[in-house]
Amino acid sequence: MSKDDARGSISRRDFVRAGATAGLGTTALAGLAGCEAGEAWDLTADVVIAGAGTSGLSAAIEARDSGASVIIVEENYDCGGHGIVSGGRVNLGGGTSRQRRHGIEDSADKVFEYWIRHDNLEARFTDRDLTRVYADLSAETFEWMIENGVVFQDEAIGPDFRNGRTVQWPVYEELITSHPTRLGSGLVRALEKSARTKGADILLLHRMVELVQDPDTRRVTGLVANSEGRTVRVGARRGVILATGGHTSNVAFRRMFDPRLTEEYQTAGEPYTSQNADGELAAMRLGAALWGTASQSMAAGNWISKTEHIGCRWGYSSLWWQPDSPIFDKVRASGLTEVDWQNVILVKQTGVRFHDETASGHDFFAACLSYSGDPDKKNGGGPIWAIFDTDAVRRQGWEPTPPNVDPDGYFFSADTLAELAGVIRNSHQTLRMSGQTLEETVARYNSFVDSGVDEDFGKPTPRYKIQTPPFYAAWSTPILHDSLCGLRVDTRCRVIDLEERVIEGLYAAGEAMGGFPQHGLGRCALFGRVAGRDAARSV
Amino acid sequence: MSRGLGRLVHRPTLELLEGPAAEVDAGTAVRFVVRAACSSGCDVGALPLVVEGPGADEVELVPTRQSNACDTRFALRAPAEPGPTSWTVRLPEHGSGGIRHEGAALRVGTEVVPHRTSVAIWQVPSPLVGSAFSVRVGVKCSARCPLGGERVHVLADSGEWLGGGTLGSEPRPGSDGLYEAEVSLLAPQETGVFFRRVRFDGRALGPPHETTEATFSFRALEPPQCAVTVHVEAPALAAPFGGIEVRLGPYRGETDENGVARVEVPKGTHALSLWRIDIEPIAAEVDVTGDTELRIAAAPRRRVDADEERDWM
Repeated sequence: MSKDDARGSISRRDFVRAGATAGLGTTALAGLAGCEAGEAWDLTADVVIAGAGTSGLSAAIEARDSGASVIIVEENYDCGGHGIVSGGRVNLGGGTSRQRRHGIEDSADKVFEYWIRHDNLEARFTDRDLTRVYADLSAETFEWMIENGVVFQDEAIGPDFRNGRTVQWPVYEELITSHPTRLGSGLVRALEKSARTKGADILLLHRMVELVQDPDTRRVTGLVANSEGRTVRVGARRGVILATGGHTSNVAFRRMFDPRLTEEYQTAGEPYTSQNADGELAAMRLGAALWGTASQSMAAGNWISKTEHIGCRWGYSSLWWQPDSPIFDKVRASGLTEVDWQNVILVKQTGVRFHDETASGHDFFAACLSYSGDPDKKNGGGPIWAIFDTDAVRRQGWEPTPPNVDPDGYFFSADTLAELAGVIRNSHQTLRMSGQTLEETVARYNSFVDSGVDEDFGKPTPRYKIQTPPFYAAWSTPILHDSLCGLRVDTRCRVIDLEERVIEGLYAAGEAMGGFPQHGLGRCALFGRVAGRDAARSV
Repeated sequence: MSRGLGRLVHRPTLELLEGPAAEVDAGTAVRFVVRAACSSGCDVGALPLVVEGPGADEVELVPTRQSNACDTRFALRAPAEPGPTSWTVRLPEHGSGGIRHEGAALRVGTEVVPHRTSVAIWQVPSPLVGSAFSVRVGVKCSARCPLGGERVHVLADSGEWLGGGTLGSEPRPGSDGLYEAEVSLLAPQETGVFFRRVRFDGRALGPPHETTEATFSFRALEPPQCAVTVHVEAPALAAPFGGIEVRLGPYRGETDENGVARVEVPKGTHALSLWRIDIEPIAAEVDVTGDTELRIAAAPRRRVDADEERDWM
């Protein structure tokens, strides 16, 4: 088979997969014919983007609007990344049409001043040069999203209508989650539709594994992707944009910032999407610097959260997976939800309580992540189990059977507490829970219910004894979320190396980028636009 | 494969696919799956295994041919007496057609232990001082032994016997072998939180069972002097008004379908709280000087968007 044949077979199959919304674009065809001399590219485009999430799609639209051809490589079988399973939270202000409609006077300067506040831990660690870019483009990006088909709810999260949510995508079969609504679909599908309509080509099931750098000029000239075992080399005439979505799924990477974050902690968005640090690692191999790392380890913000749905592996807050989700085979269980923490106690893998269960701040998480008692695994806090009885099940109105719970390692029941301790099996449970310890823990807690005072952890008026069989243990280990630091970039989103030099031809945006640790999708779209525009205009 | 005495010699192997844990309950069945295979790919299914050890004389072997192997399933009963024990599985030497299969042996050991028992205590009330009350006690054997007719005992911290009960003949419905008894007790004469120990002694059972103890607590309450009637008004609630838990300190009641609960309490200041999963929790302090009527407005529980309130600045 000739080289041209190989290229043709790759592109046809992938483009058919990718073309559901808007058919084939022009870029790939140009790429097939435009392989540059001296480079063994399978495909080429002006701008090549790794990742078809919010920042990648925004970069693609902006690059196409600037006249550049675009190829996106996406490792997943569908677009969206973290954004499509998110709550569609978008933080953009500075004088948007929505703000004006609600009589809010805002400006870029006000946005800037907010996001550099020293008394706000989330803003304290921002790179103020990047913050200025965010402030100046904030309102413009909001209107740009509307122009590209995104529909916003006319409600605000918090003051000043800076923070709001998108409207769920109306095509049911194009949602990843089903109920309750995952509003990020309205953002991502709209951007995807716009990007495809404007001619961006999206190669699904293509995972970037390496960047290609000219050894003489150090300019990044393309990337290498792996598609189901095949290597695909994609050349970028003007630039490569890393929009790979952060690092919190990568245990080795995340532990650079916090050694406690060992493998037992899941990441929100999984199992649909994994934040595996592909972009950061590829760029770091070329000498790229990380930036804003204080944000990732600060005791504030959205990098960790309490399990909202217990007894299942994937219990991130508003991601309440239901059996009609297209990926429920991976999710396996929805979880027992709307937990009133008076109905349960939380214990470590050894069966001991460690904190007031009704709390959820960073003191709570510090206790969750505290030493689990395993001398062979000193870091990480180990699994956290919610222990409750059949009375709690009745009060909560739960049905503790599949698909609500996952008995394959994340939910257990037994007729006595000692027996319950003995049946807990999970790959992250490195110690056997002692039945005697769990009995003693519960007996002591029950006495606090009698006295009305939690002498150990100050839970406000412990309300219910855990006494009536059967007894239950439900996985309730905290969940990681945002990547709040990433690659160092300049105000044009060009990646900077450890010598503070620009790595020509390489850009980063979204959660792969450091310096602006905002929760939500506003920063992803905004800096994606900056990267896409600059790369398209790069010569 | 080697040659000996003019014949081809094959060396079969035995592999334990399923066997006993490090500890097994005395007198219980232990399941085995042993894979026999010949390194030269011979069909070893025709070579029956020999099992030696406790209970082996009654073993029933169920072989299943796999590709290039034969898996044999069987069950053995562990000895009734605790202590170390072992079984040996042999593949006898066998020869035919110019090929001799050497013998192979697999020794499997475990520790036979007394059956572990565990206890649950529920329906523990907050009795009035000096009053009779009862609790439910359940006992379970790790090997699901029938425990009907056995006795459970409730002791004071000092070891003084305070009460006992006989486990029922049938397991608690819905349980997996939890036998239960009702034990009548007498509350102390003074108020406060008290601890009691429940003991189940199974040493005399055959096979032997471990003795187990568990602790429970209760609060002895001052006798009430007056009644507080709480009327819950909740026009925004979709569900009926019944089942809302009403507490005045340790004194408890529950609303009927009309949203009315009557709780008897001593005179004094009490912490009032109302709870049901679908209403916003209500808490207040109430001074009770005599029979009292309270009207409480309840609201549906606010559903918090999980993407909000995630900042702990």
